[in-house]
Amino acid sequence: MNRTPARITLDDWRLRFKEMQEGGVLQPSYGGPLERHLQDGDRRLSSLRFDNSPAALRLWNFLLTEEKRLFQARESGKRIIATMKDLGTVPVMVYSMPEAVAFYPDGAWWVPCIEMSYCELAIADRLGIDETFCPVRAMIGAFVNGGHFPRPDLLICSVGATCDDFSAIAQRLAALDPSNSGPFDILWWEIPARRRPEDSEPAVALPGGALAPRSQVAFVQSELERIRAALSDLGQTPLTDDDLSRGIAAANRVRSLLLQLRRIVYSSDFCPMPALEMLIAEMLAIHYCSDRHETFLVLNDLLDEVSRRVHHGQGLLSPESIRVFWVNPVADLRMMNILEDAGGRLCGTDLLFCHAIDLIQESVPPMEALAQMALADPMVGPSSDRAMRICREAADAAAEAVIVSRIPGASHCAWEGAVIRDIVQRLLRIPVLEIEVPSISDPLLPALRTRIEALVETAREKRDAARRDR
Amino acid sequence: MTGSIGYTSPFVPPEWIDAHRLHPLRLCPSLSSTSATAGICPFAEAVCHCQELKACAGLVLTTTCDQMRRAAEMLQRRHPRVFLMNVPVTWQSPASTRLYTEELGRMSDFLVRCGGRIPTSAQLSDTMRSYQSAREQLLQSRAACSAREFTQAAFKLPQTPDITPSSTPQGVPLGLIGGPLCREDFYIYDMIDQAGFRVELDATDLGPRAFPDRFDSTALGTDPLNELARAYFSAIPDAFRRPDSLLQDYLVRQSTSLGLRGFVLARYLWCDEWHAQLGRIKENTGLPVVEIDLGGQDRSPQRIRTRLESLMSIIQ
Repeated sequence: MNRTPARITLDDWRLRFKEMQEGGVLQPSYGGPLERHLQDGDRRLSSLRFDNSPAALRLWNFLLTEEKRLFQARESGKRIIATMKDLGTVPVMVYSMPEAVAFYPDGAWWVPCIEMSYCELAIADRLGIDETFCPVRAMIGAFVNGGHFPRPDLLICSVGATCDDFSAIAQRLAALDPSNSGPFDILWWEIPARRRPEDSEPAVALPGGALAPRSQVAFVQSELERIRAALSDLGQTPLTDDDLSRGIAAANRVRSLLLQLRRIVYSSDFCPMPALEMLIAEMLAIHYCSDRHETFLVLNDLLDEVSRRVHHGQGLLSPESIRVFWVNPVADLRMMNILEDAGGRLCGTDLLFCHAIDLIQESVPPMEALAQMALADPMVGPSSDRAMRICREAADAAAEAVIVSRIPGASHCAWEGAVIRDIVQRLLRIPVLEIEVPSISDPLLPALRTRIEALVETAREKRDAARRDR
Repeated sequence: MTGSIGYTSPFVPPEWIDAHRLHPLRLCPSLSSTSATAGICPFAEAVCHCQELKACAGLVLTTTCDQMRRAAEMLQRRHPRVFLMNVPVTWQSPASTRLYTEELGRMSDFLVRCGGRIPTSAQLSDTMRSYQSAREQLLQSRAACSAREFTQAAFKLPQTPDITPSSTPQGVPLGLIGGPLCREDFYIYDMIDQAGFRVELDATDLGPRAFPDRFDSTALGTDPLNELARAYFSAIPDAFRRPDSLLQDYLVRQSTSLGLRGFVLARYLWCDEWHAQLGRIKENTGLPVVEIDLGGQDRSPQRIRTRLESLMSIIQ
């Protein structure tokens, strides 16, 4: 049931879904027409444009049914673990346990955008967590109103070399007792600021290329052992090294798929999958949208679709689209559509969780491998390390421009943006644009679009000049 | 004594620097070079432009907040010797205390590179005793001086405080809470006095909240380094610590024992850690709290006067 690739609206999907049904395209159990999510309150869908493939539909349905999946997991007696901030490490451990599901309450930062509602933000305001904090403050609203996920059995939060907002918001959460079931008891674990090894210090090469002192890896490993003990306690069965090795192998199967997907999409001349779907696909790597097995199938479908499109020379955007490397996730998903409307296309990303996409080492003991992974988090090390990785990947992807999307109120963004910009401009000599995207960016859209268009024009002039010189 | 080592955080023990035969210089930066950039903490930015850095052989900053961590990274690109001390946020596990102690060891290597010398245990113990004695003298003179005088004397430790007893401060007792202060913002103390209050508890980074615990005399003799780590790391309550129960318990205890009637929370714009404490402090102490944000474009005293007047009207 293949069609010429296109970005279509929610209304278009109504007809498309009918065609798919008539064509006998099978839906997973959570499948169905996209518009039902609009009726459920996901009002942002009416202003987005989506890829028109069955694989993309599966991806969206998978994402938008996560809340339901979590409540069902609770009803079926599974352990629900809320993991906060580390973006990728602890879920690998959780999914190594039987009958357990991990999710990131941090993901509630998209609730105001998707539902076009200030409800969770208003709760955060009342608790003193106002708009000077990053949009992840919606998380505290989500915990209080209890409408997006069941009360977790265990809350695990990384602190240390993390952004101040998140740490402050999580601490504010810890004292709350919205449903008189007792305050939220958080297991805090330390991730130290990654530093370069000193000359005499034994060092470890982390996934992604950074170096860290062996002593820091050992420390993080000891912290993860505390988490292992807590998970074993909760599951009433030890979480063994063999369990973790199997969990890591499964995580790597998902990551391999995602790496292949990124490689094909970002290297292709014809852009076989739009930026919005790629953003969602990458997000799946963090906690598998509460279903690791299904994530594998969803990514596999996407990979099949893009491979088919590339084979047939089919793409969504002009081959003349400017190749843009995108830094940081956006609170308002529409920015991904706007990038393409403005004449750009994604050629690579750093969405703050490269460590959740890189393969985990399987040649070292599992806890050590997870500690290395956690320390490889781009947020944990110096901004210059992050900028150097961005330069390497942007250069490999033949990026013609970089967009650094600042997260409003995030303690790291104001500093990092300048460092990344300076290093990218110095080493790659391509234009860099810094923008700030709030959760509901409607009033700012025209200005944001104009700025991206200006970036695209600048990059296009540079490209044209280079062609003339050749 | 040779070069100066600049520092800002109360988690950096000046005794450790002093014992290495270097001069610990607690920085008091000025806001005058800051740009009021959205998202950047004015204090962290002020540290990056601090004039005193030029005279320092080295600089020790800490990871107690993300803003200072990033400021340290910026400074490392310009200043020849910047040491970023990893101060653990979690404090309840032995591993965290060990990490803090190991960081003191790493700092020692840095101090040697700055021209210092590794102290013997006896030298460290002596230095610790001398600082403790100076802090105790300062604390004893607390009742006889204003909070501002106390803070200014604290900057000069271990110099014996030279405080001329003034008339006992009057006014409604309140607690001043928050982190560091730039030199332009010391006027807050005066404004609080003028508004009819007295700062009975200075729980900023410059007051007794941020002093280390009393050194155990036996441990001072047998294992001064670990005792130094314990007194600083295990005892100082602060907003960044997880959980923040050390701070909450401290404020509740102090508000009861000192008979406080309210709190002023003074924090820099974009300081998330202290900003988020507002609700916690109100809930836990049951006392009224007004928040004053510093370092923004509007630095008019009238704004602060109005907040203090509102606090007084709530209390009365």
